[in-house]
Amino acid sequence: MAAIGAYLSGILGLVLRILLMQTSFPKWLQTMNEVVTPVTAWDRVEEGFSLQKEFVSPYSGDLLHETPLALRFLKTAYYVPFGVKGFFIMIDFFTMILLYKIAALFKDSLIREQNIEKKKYSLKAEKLVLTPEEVSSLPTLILTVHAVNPFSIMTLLAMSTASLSNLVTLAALYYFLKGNQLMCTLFLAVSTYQTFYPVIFIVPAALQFYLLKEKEVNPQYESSKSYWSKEAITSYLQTVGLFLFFVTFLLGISYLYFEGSLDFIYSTYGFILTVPDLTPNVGVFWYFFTEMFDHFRTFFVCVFQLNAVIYTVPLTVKFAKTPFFLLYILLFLTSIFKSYPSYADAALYTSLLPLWRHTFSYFRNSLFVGGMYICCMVLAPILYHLWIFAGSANANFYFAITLTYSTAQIFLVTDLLFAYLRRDYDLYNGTEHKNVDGTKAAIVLE
Amino acid sequence: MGILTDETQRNRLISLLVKYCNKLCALLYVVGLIGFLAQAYQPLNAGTYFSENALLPGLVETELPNTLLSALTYRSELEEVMKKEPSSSPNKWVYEKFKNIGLETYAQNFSVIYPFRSFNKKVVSGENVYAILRARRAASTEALVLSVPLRPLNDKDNTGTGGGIALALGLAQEFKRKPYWSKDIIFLFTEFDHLGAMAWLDSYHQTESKFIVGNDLEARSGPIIAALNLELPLNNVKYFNVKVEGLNGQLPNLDLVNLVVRLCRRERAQVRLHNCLEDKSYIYSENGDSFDDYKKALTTMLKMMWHQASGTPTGNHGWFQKFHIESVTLEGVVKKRSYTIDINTTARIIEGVFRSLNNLLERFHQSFFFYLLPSTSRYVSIGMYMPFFGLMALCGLLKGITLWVSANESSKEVKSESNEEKSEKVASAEGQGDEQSSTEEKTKEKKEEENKETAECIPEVSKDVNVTKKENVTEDVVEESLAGKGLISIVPVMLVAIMLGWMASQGPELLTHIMPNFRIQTEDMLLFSLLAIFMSALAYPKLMKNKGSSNILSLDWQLLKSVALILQTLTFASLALFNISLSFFLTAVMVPVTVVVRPSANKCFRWLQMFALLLISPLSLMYIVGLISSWPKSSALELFLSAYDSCKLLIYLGVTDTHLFNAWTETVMTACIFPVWLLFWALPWIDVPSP
Repeated sequence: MAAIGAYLSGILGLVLRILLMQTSFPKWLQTMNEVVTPVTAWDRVEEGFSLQKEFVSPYSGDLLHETPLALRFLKTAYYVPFGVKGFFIMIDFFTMILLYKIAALFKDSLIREQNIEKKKYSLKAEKLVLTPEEVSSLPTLILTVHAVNPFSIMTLLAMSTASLSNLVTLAALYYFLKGNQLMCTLFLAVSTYQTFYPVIFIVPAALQFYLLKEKEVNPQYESSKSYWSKEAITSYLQTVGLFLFFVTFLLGISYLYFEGSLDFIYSTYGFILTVPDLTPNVGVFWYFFTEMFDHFRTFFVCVFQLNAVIYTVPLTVKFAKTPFFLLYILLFLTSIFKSYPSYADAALYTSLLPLWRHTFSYFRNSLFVGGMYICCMVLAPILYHLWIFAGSANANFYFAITLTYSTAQIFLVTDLLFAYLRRDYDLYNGTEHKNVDGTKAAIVLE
Repeated sequence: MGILTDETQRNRLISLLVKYCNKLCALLYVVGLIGFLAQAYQPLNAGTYFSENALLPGLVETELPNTLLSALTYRSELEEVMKKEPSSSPNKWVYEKFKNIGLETYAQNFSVIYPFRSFNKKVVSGENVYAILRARRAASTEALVLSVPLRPLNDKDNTGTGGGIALALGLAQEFKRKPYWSKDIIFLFTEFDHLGAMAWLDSYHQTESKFIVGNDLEARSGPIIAALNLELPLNNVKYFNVKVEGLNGQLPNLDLVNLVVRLCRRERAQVRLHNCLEDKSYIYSENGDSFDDYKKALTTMLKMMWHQASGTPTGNHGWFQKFHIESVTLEGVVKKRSYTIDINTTARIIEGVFRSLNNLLERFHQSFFFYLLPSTSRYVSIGMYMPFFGLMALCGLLKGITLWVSANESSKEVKSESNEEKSEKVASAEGQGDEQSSTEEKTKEKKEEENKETAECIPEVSKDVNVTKKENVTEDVVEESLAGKGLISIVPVMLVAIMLGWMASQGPELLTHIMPNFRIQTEDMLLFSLLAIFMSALAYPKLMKNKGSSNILSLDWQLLKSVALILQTLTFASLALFNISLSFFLTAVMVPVTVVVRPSANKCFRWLQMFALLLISPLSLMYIVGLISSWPKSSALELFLSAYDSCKLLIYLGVTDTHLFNAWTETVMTACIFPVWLLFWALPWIDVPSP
């Protein structure tokens, strides 16, 4: 039954995308700064191809910011049936498959972990305990959400190359859940090689593989082993070592591919890290740095980039036991704070959001956050038009919307964190909370 | 984060909201409406002023001769030429004259392909003439435009523009001698008014249009900073109208409007907005606070808003605004046998405008782009009118949120019951010896407690929820799935609404492609096809109802209404950003009905609601607009007939403007307002058992 549902929603998603590709919609989306960034624009990739054809380095000038291997890989797009469109549809198809598999793995791991932990749960928390039937529809749900997710549809129609990086990240997530250390680190390395920010995902990955190893040795997993024991450090080093090996390997191949030139480093990672292109997008960087005096620039670039990754530390301390949740939150946070965010990043985390369906009942602001998201999606193009084309509004209007969008994302992620923690708390302490005097107590996050 | 995480505070707020929702909504709407309209009252708005210091209006001394003889001779020559050929516009003559003056003069041919296979006028071709006066002190990096539409003498619909042509020629001759120009001045004469202007602008900016095809321009200048469009008849100008409303409700920078108004005043020429006479007292802000003054100001403001709401420019200036060029039209209104403004005065005004524009160092950016004008010298800024509009829009949003909350609570109620049963089952299935009995006891206790609590907490949830609760006992499974689905249950209705909206916006074009050539006029065909789509759309709740069992529309109407209200608010809010007037009128008309409408067991009430909803449907709104625009008629029948005609014309113009000029009004009405309205239309059709 579930399988039929999954097929149906998959086909629905593909048909929807193919139909929309025939309209004039993609052309408009390709010009939308919310969907396409300088790093992910397909136009720029094509420019890179033609530069290569003329035996000019595609990284000369400030045009192309794809990595060399991605550029090489994207060339295959022309040999796929139906050309570039067919290529992107194919990528979306693989994305769907991976999402389905991730959800299937995730629901099993959810039940498995619950069974281990069950004894410690409060008696008053039966309502929260998940049954296999409850989670059985998760893969179909994820697929359906992806099929109608406006973010992923827009990303695909705009032919943003971010859909490729999203696919790689999903592959990393898949092997992460599967417990395949080699493949996971490989895909993490590819993902890092592509967009740099996934480098922080190595933290949850290291934790995950350590925990998995621990579980193998000690299935009951009662004793809370130290995260700083000798075995732990060895395991971390192993994961990080593999990861570094793969990254070096990829960079080495790129180096060789460009016949001993390291130009691409500045055009890709330099571009991501130093943020020279201040074209408006949905992130927090552009407005701030257009206002910035040049001599403060370096300092604030460092601060902003640090802001994108610094949350790894506190979150790791808090969620060391649940590396996958940690990974998801980090994924979410980097897509808010990265230097060139777009709807493609939102597409990834919104498609995966239903994985945490069991915590949704603790969400407080779903209407508010949902409203904010919808408002931003509608108002952003309007305000951009008023600013750039009509000339009657100005940059502040558009910036207000991008700020709202970032705020909405932050609200959503805090909501998710809060809901997850609340559910966790309730699992161990029961769903009813009483004060000392027996009156009903409310739990407040402070 | 207090409000976001603290539950008690929030619950208090929500219960307050639920309790006083209706009163609050009514209050918000009334306060918003009155506040908005009160902005025309003089003490509440502000006098216009110049933000851009570089303009220095009226500071330069005029260098024109006391009587501009050349303009007078051009005028009499033109009069003769036009009398000779009353049915064609004088492009050739204008071209020759400009050549003689010694300016770079060019002609541009263009043709217009009408959409929808209009038979009689399938392709229209015309010719624009333009002349460029190169600035002596700059390298053609910026330009100003003086544009005059070319109209044949026997054009019945529009007044002549001969005065403007003669004046442009006279001024060109004078301007050419002056050394101080630092911006090129382009004299542009367009045939077929807006079509020519659009063709020329498209070619100038090298943008392409599917329907208006213009030849490449032989010469051009730099980016155009500002444009002044003249619609002056040959003689007997009594007063000027300054026209500002542009495409899609865009307005020129207020500084430009001020400039024109100020210079007209300086020359003691009367200037008005939409023919509304202004008292001196109001102009010079002396006691303009009497009720009569308020009435006048309000009429002016509403007239201005009425034109802005249409989204179609009131003159050629509107097309310039599409290209980020600030522009206004100065229209001369003829009244015989009275004091008239002579051509010299007008020449001085235009000279003043251009010399001020010549001073500009940057594009217009200082003053307001979003404003309403209750008179030529007073303005209401966006900061003043937006809050009151916001209150009106908030009314719908508030009701939507309240309904969302109560819909959620009612579904939670159902859910929690089913959940508990499930948890009992789980507990018993696990069967963990001793604990089992105790847990069961506990859950029972808890269940009772919770039932009490929910019963106490939500007395506000309307009666039909209680009814569903009773039904719950018999149809447990069905109810559970419905409540669990929640949002999913309203998805079909929304999809149908969106599809119908898409059909309404694309339908006319598709139908004309498919249909064989009936011998009917395009206007009729458009109206009929829209009418057909509208009628079939009206039947959709009925159709969806008959599909399954007795009552498939038993979806959560509160949820549907709340989603519809939220969407409506979003639509109006985003519309308000580029066309406040359209958004204001729609909000004022639609919100009272859409907030009130709900399923009812009372047949009478239900029919009343349907009638009210029909009244505010996009198509009837169009008819009402037609009715208002052809208001003073001798008999009622005549009024209705002419309203029908103007409604038809309105729709035709709306649809063609969408294709020719990328106007949005029609798209907004069909693809945004119409689907939202359809969501509300489903509401009275939903069955609720009588109490």
